[in-house]
Amino acid sequence: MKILLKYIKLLSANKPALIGAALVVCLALIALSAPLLTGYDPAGQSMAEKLLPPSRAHLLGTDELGRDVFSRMIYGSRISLSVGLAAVAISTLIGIFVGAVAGYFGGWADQFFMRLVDIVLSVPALFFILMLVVFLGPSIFNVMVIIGLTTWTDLARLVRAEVLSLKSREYVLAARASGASHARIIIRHILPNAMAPVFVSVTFGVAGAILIESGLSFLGLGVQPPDPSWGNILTSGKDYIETAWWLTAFPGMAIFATIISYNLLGEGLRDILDPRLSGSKERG
Amino acid sequence: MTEDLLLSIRDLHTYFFRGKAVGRAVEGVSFDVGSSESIGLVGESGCGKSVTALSILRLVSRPGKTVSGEIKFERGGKMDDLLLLPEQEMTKVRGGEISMIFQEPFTALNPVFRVETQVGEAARVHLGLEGKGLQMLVMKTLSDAGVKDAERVADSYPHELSGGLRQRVMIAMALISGPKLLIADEPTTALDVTVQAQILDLLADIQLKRKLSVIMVSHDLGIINRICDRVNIMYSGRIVESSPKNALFSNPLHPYTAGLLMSIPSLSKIERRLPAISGNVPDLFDPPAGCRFHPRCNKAMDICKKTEPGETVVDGRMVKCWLYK
Repeated sequence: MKILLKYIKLLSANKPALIGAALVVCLALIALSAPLLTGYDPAGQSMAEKLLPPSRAHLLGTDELGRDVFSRMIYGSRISLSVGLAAVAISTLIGIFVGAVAGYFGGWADQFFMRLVDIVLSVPALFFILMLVVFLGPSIFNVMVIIGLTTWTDLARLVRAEVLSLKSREYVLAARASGASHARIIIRHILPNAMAPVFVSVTFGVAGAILIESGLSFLGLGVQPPDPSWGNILTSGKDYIETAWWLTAFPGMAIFATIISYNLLGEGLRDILDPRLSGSKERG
Repeated sequence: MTEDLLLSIRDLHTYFFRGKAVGRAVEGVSFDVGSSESIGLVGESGCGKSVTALSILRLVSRPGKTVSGEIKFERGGKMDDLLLLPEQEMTKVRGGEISMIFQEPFTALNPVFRVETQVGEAARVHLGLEGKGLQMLVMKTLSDAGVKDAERVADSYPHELSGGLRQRVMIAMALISGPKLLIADEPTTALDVTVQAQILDLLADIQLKRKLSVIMVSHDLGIINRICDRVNIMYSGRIVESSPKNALFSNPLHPYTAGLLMSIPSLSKIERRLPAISGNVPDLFDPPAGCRFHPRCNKAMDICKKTEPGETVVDGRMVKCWLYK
């Protein structure tokens, strides 16, 4: 608790990080309280009201099927954010597991997992993802899993490097000498000390995953209509870009704002958690 | 000191493998520890004393490996060979029956846990304690280890404590699950002299109260003199002299022991320059032939260069030197 408070204090001293954190919290609140913010059904069509510009009735206008864009974007944020978070949760679990095992046990385990990382990295990520989506079929769940399965490699390397340096610390030997098992040592003694770069990487990871999801949905391989996602709102809007700018401008801005808020938060965290990488002058 | 045997090491060999080269860090070490007995393991850096200590707990990590020998340890009335125990049994021995204190109190405590958590760890693992009972045992053990305001210290992180306090915390960590044997690897080297004296007094006190056996690893004969009943002098992976403390200090047999004793500064004998043993510890990967000490020995004879001396018993003391054949 004491440490958490200290970090919150440090975070508030770092302006970009504070802005990032505030935006991230806002976006999460908007997604959570979607039904309170809009009275329109995101899938409710009304051909009489199609392609209306922003007005008091429809804050961000309506699309080609007369659906309220504001409502679709807010419900879309639920999907985009949850895909981003779930994908990162999956990739973080895999990355930490692979990195910890490879770094701690070394030898064969290290060779095996690091070559696996090399293999995954040697295939262009987007190509890999597209291939998997084509095989498994596009759905929200598949997109989460596929993004998770393809983005753990950087984290695995990061965790491995941390673990390599931490495992030779004397307190690890001391823990061994007091009868702790390997699993206990990794989980209780090594990983908590390796968490700083993980937090940073997870924050950037969320931004990356949301971007990949938007891209896939834009290509029609991600979230499938009628479920709204920022990516597929863009897709359907691109045909009307000359007559109905609001169909593409607003989801584009939403993606942009989300990515930049997570990136700001990530950079701020990096400054705070890893003084070696920071260019800022803040001192704890 | 009683005659009950607690630990008996026979012909221990621990080697380090570097490509095809083999570093014989511990070669044929044998010694016994009785219950409530305190044994010193003395030698220069690189003589194999720490590796011997780690070998007992099977904590020598790659590229090191204990290749042969026997480490019999008394468990529940019978002597088990620790080298043959399955790893799962071994984790019960570590911290539960044999504990270890390390040299660096600054690095041997995990920076992310409060003292209470770290001290309690072994009790959680070995005694299965939780909650209130665990907390009470932690407080009691901390005050047994000479920590005055245990409440405050228990709530602190390691970096908030002084070196002496940290070493006391380490001692509490080692004691909490009630081990029979305590291995102390240079426990006072990183501390300043006044704190050293306090920690040594504390260890002597705990040893007496808890009827603990102690293996004290050190390069400092002054420390050994304060704590130990019996001293083993190690040189280049072997024990070259093993003797009760008083006899060793008054009449060292091996020229190496004599050299070590000569190089302790003393206030009563004012000398212009402290005598040192010339030369360096031999390379473990390429040791000299014959007696490994002969290149540095001022009493070396021809035979010392060719053949290694075996064990000779002189007045109940063991020495490996041609002078006593």
